[in-house]
Amino acid sequence: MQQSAPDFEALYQTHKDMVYNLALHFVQNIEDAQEITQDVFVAIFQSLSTFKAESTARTWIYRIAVNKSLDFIKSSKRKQRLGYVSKFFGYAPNEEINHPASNNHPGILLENKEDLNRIFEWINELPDKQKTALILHKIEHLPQAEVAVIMNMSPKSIESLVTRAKKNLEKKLGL
Amino acid sequence: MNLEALENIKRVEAPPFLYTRILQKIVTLEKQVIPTKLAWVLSGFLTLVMLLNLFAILSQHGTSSDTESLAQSLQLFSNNTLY
Repeated sequence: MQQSAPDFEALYQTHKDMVYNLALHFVQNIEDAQEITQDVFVAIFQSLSTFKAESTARTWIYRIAVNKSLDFIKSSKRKQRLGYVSKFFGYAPNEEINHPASNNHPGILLENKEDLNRIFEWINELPDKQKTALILHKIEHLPQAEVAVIMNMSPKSIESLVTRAKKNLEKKLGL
Repeated sequence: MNLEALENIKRVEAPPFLYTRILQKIVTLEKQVIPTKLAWVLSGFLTLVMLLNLFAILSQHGTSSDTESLAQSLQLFSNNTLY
């Protein structure tokens, strides 16, 4: 590997938990979050030479992590649809068709599991931008200004996304 | 239940073996002679070229038989015999 390896390892050690936790919030599943984390850092390694420092490393890594998480979710849904079609035609897939919310988020305490599983079921149904803004602001506890930089939007747009996401969730949860 | 429950999600540590797996993935990708996407693009291109060639060959066969029937209808001959 190349001479950037020490920088890469430093980046990894500084941001690994951030990436892993963010992936967990998107997929609520340990194995999937591990896969996303690996994909994120491989992408980081491949793009190190093109990182222009127009944003901080943290913002840059958050963006990659968000994009990889959303890509993973889309890919899982595609595989799931394909699995259903195969099953319909009598071809039994090697793996079981995974329900997208097979929840084993390790950050959720047992006493909150039932409530949070319900909330996450509905978070998973939100449009991507609302979901991302909500996760970054409400679960990652990032200020709206930072979320705005990560999502390349204005702080007002982020405020609007978070408000809409909360309203949608409250409506679906009957709150 | 309210959405404030989202604030109670604990932060967890990434498993220690992840770094090894990441390095393995990087090494595997670096060993690839042709990136996967490029391989697909090249295969698609070659298939297209072969199909075009096949179409051209089949068209030529059709064209020469059309030329022959036209020549026959005009009583034209492909040899130089004058009588």
